[in-house]
Amino acid sequence: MKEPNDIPREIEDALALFFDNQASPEVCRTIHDWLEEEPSVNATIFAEYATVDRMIYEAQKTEDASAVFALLAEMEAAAEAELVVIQAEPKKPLETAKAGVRFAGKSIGKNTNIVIPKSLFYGGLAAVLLLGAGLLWAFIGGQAGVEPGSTPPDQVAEQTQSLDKPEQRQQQSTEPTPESKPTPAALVARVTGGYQASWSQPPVDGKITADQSLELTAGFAELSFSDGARVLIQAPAKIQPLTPISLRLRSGKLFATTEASGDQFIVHTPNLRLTDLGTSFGVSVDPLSGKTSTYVYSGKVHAVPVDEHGQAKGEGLMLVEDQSGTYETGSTVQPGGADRHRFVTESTEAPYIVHHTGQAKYVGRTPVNETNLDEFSSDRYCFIMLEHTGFSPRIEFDVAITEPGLYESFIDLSKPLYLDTPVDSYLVRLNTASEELVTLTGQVTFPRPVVAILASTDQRLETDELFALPDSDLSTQDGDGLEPFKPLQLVNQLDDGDSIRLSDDRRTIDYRLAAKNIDQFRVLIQGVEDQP
Amino acid sequence: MSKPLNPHPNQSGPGKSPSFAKLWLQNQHALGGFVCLHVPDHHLADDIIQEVAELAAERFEQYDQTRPFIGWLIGIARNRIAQAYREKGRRPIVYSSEVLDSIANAYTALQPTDDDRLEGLRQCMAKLSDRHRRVIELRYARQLTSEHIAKQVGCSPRAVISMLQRVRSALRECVSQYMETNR
Repeated sequence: MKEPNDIPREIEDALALFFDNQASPEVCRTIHDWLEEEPSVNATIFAEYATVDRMIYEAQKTEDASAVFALLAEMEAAAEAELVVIQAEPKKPLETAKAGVRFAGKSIGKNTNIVIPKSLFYGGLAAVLLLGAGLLWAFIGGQAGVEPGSTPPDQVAEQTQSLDKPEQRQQQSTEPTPESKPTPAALVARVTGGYQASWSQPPVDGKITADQSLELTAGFAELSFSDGARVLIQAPAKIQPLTPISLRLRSGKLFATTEASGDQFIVHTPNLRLTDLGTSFGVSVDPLSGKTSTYVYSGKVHAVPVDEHGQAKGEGLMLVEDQSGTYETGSTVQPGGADRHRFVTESTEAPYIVHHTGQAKYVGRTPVNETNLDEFSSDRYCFIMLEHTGFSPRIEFDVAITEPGLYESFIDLSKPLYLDTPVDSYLVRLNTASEELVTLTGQVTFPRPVVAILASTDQRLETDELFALPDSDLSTQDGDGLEPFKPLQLVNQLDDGDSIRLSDDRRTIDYRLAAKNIDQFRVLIQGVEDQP
Repeated sequence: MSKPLNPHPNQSGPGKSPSFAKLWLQNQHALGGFVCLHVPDHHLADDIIQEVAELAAERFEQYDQTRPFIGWLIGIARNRIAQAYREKGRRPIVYSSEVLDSIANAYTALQPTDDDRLEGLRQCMAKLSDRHRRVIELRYARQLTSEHIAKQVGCSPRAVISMLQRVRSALRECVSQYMETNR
């Protein structure tokens, strides 16, 4: 085999773009020319890459398909052994599909995409219909009377959606007939991320089935619904995923986005039904009062009050981007009452920032210079920027904070530090857009403990060479560090003083920055060897 | 068209013609790879592969079983790819016949070991770091763009593209080693 190192860097880059579906005609031409150079060898390399690429794709899909077929097999067994809700059908197509085959024909669902060619289509139709009916059966809690042949696959989603209405679900799930037996529930979501998530009863293998009640007691959890929605749950919260496109939020906070899939997502609270008609929104339910608040980050959300049976009461309110609404039982949906900083919106699995909330925006490894200065000027956010990672300074420099606690004055906070172990460096920067005094608060949790905080202008300046990105052009003006650092400023500290709290586990920083121009400080956390 | 007396040795037991389903199973990944050469968009590639499978199933009786099945599929795929490009008003990537033949030969050489290769891939993927597995899942299972993945993993889109290519490269190498050891 030709080793990867034998492949010119230019070709590796071209292949990277090609398999990411971003190859321009020029890139395609580059690949073609390379193939022509040595067709017998390079075509094999290319074929291996393309086959691996395709196999990864297939393997990922097959995993989802396997879950569906495992469910189907369970349901077949249950149907045979108990109620004759679903008649046993020929298993041949099922076995074929279990083997991982993909055929042409009709696709079922976004992720399963199990398809059959015409020649085998009719043979497999029964299994496909069985699958559709089976899923429907699972969604409605094993309600008797569903005929497998009466539910074409393309109608399953529609029916599922109509069943999403709380009033119907309520009736079906709370009034089991004497004949009904426990049935295997459909997989609707998976836990795909989180930070220090603690559940009262953790989902087994991260799999969440329809109607499973869950309580997140600590941390954050990211759920990925099988129809594409991503939901970040913020503890404490009680939830009940209902279908691949909906969940019930009994209390707590969540942020839902369908940005990647563009599909609909519905959140039911005790008194409100929120239908996402766009891409992302946050919802909170007060555990005591039951008050529901929502904030729309993008797209539209239709908020409709519902009674205790889930019946709609009135037309509700349509909220668009940057609008919020609040609802208390017995009133109408009121505009306002929530802000965008209430919800954790970023993935909790980011390797460099575990999460941030409040007036903070993580921008990754982005140098600040004249060309993009305006992008990082804001009266609403502090920007958190990743600088060098996995870097061992091996030189002494001054820092302000190395111990947990609340710091409201930075006078004489300076001590030397020598590090011969790797650290990751971050810059937290407020650069106001207006000439007014701006005060911002926020919280950042890092993946590893904070080693030191460099608060004063001098401390930051003296370490720019070590930690700042090469293209960065950070301001060198006096007073862009944290204040008060001079006794004179104590007079104004209530108005324009800054503060930092480093948590006991050294991983979370709460900050309050007040500035008319720039305030910034550097944070060093324990690093790991930088990845190539 | 007369039926061949001796089916392709790679494809079935003695004296018995392989079924379409069996041949398809053996060749689907290689065909997928070939279609990807022309259509790196997985969704469009899916559509084309589905149509190729449909056409191949319909015309299966015309298949000369003395010749590699993958070659026959590629022939159908070529036409379908060209048609897809025409429908979308885009000019297909034009490959010289030498390049196309080389690629078709390469796929044909890979094809008989498709199942083993898949098993190798599974084992190799299990060795990936959590971070790499996460990126693979976001790209291939959730079909997110590199921009979206970048937001989720906290790096630039360009870094995501490079990371994915490093992973593909590592997997290709690992799968090849697996094939060598299990030959």
